[in-house]
Amino acid sequence: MKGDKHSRLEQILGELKPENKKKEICEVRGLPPGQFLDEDVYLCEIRHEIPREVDVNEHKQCIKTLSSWGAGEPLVFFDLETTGLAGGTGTYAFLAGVGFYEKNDFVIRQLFLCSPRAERAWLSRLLDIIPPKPAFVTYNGKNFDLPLINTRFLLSRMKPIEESGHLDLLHLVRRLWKRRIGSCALSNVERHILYIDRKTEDVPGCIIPELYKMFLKTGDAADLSGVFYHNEMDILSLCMLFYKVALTLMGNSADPFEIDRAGDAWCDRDLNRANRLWRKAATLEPPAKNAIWKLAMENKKMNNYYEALSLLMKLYNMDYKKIDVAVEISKLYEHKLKDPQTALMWAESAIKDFLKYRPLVRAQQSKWTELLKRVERLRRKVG
Amino acid sequence: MEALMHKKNLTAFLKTLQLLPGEITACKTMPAQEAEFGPWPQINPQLTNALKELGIKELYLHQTKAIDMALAKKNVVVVTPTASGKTLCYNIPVIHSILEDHSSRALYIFPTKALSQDQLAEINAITNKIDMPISTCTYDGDTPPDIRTKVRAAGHVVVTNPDMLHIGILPHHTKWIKLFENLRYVVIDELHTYKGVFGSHMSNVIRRLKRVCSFYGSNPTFILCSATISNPAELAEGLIENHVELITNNSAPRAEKHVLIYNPPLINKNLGIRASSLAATADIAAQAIANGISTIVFTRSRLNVELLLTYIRENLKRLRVDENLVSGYRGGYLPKERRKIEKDLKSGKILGVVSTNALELGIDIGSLSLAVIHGYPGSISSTWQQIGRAGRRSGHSAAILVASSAPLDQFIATKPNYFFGGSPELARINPNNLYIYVDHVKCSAFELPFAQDESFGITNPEEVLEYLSQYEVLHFAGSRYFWQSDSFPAQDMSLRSATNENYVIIDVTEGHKPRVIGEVDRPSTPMLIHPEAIYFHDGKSYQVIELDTKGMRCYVKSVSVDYYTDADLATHLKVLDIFTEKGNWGLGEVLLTFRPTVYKKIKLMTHENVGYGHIHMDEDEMHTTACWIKLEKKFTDILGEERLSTGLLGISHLFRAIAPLFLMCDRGDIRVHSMVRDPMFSAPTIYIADNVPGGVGLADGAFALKEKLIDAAFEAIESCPCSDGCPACTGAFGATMNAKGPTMALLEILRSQEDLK
Repeated sequence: MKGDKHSRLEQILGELKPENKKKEICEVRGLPPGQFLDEDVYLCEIRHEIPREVDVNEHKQCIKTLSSWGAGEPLVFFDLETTGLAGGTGTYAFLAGVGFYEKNDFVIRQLFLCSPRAERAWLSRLLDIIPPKPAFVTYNGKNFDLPLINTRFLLSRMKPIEESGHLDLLHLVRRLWKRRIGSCALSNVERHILYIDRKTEDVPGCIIPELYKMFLKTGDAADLSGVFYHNEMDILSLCMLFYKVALTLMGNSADPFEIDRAGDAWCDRDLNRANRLWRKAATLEPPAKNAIWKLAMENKKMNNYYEALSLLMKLYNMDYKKIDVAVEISKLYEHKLKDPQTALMWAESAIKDFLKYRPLVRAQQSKWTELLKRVERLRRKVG
Repeated sequence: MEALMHKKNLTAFLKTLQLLPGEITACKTMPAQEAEFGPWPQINPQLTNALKELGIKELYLHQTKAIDMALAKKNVVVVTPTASGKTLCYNIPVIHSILEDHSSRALYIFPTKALSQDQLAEINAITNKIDMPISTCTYDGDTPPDIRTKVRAAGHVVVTNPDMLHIGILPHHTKWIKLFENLRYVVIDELHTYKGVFGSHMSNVIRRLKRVCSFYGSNPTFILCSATISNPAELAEGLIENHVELITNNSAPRAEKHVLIYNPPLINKNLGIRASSLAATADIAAQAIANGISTIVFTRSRLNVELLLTYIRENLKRLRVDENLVSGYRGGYLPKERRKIEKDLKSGKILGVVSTNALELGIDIGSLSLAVIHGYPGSISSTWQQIGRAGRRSGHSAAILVASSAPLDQFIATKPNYFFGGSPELARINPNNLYIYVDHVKCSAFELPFAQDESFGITNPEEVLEYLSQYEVLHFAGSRYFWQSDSFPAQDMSLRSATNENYVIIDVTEGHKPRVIGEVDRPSTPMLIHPEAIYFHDGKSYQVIELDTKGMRCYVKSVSVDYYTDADLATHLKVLDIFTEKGNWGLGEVLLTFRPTVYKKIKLMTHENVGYGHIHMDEDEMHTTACWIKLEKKFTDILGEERLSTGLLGISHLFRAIAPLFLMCDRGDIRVHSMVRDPMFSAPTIYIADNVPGGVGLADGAFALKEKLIDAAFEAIESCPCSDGCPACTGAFGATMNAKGPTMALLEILRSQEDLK
């Protein structure tokens, strides 16, 4: 179509705000203390004395514990602030937070991109400030931060970062605490697991892209101070969370629930360790009933029938999943201990429990029919 | 009908059609054609051997031409009817390039998902006979996430559809680096489907694809395949914005074929009502199947598939023939069911299928003797494709088009030359429709930042980029435009409509369980889903209970009625800009404002008017392009005010019915409007406007046709058997006003005012 294209665009997209019609390049101002490495590439460095109650040996122990989840050395905590959460090639990072140990300090470097035109220089500086062959520790970095930054490297025709390992704490946090705290957003984990409250200068993650967009327009970085703080806090939380997760996985907790979940986390990697943790969870007060059940199943698998039986009896008396437990006991008596009489008794008691909660029969139809078959078969056996 | 004593062959069967109560208005015989072979192309010997093992020892001339062009890296469009071996035209160069260089990649784009599956089977038949592992995979909405990664890295041939390319591949191009770095061929099959809005989008998707390719340093060759349309090369070049070689001569062998048009008998001459075309179709198909003739029946809607199936089975029972010899086949059947039907057809276990146009797009069901087409499919080229479904390499075949009482059907039944003689339709696209264009510039900027002087396809996007940066979607820095928004622009765009605002249709028949059943784009709202409108979905009828214009929601309830609704719009049209004028014809940009006022209830099948209701809705507007014809002042006086306005109404209806035949579009794609006294020209004027914001070239098409439209309208009304106007020619409204006389008079004047110049 001919005619005034501009007014037609206004029709399609909506009218422009009058202040947007002019465009001038603005001087960057208001950045936190730091230095320009290149034009539009700015570095802030913060040094913290090592804030840990953890000593050097314990630190090594933590890395070793988490090594099968990707931890290694040099440990590099990594978090990006981006122009959006949509992913794809149109989202880029403008602030990279990198945390690592150097002698007696915990160093946080924040590399800021003042304009997307300098992205290539920013990326190459990023490679410089990350210790070589890093073992990343991130929160959801496997899905978000690392694929995103590597996409940026590809788009600038550069090689991606060579990493020696990558521990994404989100997965372990989900395993350990999801049931307890619900949302596993980092802020929620800080509040309920690490007991940290951020200062008021923090900004919620969802408004960060908008703040950066404003900055690009005005050049005034004062409003971004909350974003720098947010990123720094994310790195510090990551570091604390790293130890919290490691210690929990080592069984270093008095909470039976936590220990039980730690056992679960180990179960497909190191079954002995898992068993040890479950045993601990089962003996603490109040005992983690889930752990007792898992221990019973493990014992059954290992042919320790009497041990399994006594654990199941314990559970039954604690009113834990009565029907399932009774069925398991019945199975043990029937198949392993060759005592159909007692097996029948337990199966019938399961039926009784089932009928106590009639809606269950409909909800768990297959379990119910299986149970009926079991009883029928046992009755035939007993005669 | 009686039980059959002896089975008749096809020729004898066609003779019996003379006994039907209606009229056979046309009977054409297409002569047989010998095969013509070309020299075997210069291809990898492994591929030659694989083809020979499959029994392909010679290639038709059109195939070898296409293959040679593609091997020489020339873009090529192949126009061939069904069953002429077009898939080899692209599979051979693609496999050859992979055999020569194992890193080579190819991208196949099919308009629908179902087609991808069939194509995969075809290419795998060849690659299975080759030692080198060649991986071919589909990448669409159904591809499981764990397989996606593998497809991205290792797929030699990736089969996908435009929607997935647009939303799943291009915005994530860094994940497809292997594909884009090594992309040799892009295959676009069913080219003719990329017309109108869909084609305009597709052209922009290809602009984006080419931008991404050039970023990775590849420059793929395009191989396009099309059914017969008038302008395949023009469409192909419009789509890929490069020179394309055209190959049209089909050199595959063909047996003799008869094409008949059957018009069911008139029941009421004054009202122009004819006997049911559905019943006639079922009758013919059942007779054929009972005679052992393999038959495919085409109809337009899924509902009709089920109805025809029921009727045919009843007829077969009456003829004492196994009713399970016929089966349905349409979208909505599971892939597994479909494969079984295809197999049973090939083996002869079933003799007949009833299908929607799902089969029109090259799906392999083998060859059948007879095609019965219920109702004109909407365009000449899709009619020929359906006719092409019947046809064997040896032994003759036939196709019968059964006309319905719809105006366009009646036009073709009475004027078969428009169908047989006429060139098939032009497929038009308008990639620079600003509504569509802007959305794709956004997507493309998301994919890669635009440099200040960079082109987008053959266009210069700077003005749009500049606007978008002021609009704060892009950020301009260092002479480049960067995507600067926390959104994913491809997400909420549909390639199948021009604007992205859609109404969601919610079924509240069971009040506690509302269910989303579909979407309607905004421009269609006043016609399709005004309050109390009857809305059809999946063969069921619903009534609109409430239209929430703020929340873009439309609540419907399932109802059982025997009528549909047709809204009358109070339309105002204002010419904003005149592009060009020739005689009394003109073309330009217009602003349409419309508000539905009343709706008519029209009985299904007979199109009788059985009632009306009022509609209360806000006014809506649309910028688009329109073509118009003015009537000179001196002639208006001759005719008189009243006859003039009646005549304009009649012509508008005729244009509405006939123009789609020439413009290769659906009835709803254009909007015809007339004014007794147009404020711009102060003369009576009739407009034919694109019913899409910004227009997709239909008005331009109408402008190119000019007198042809008038002539066709005249012939249509002249040959209509009614006396004073009927729903088929002047429209139901015109029929009540005895519009036939004034309409013909006005058409005569329009014709002669041009001749006088």
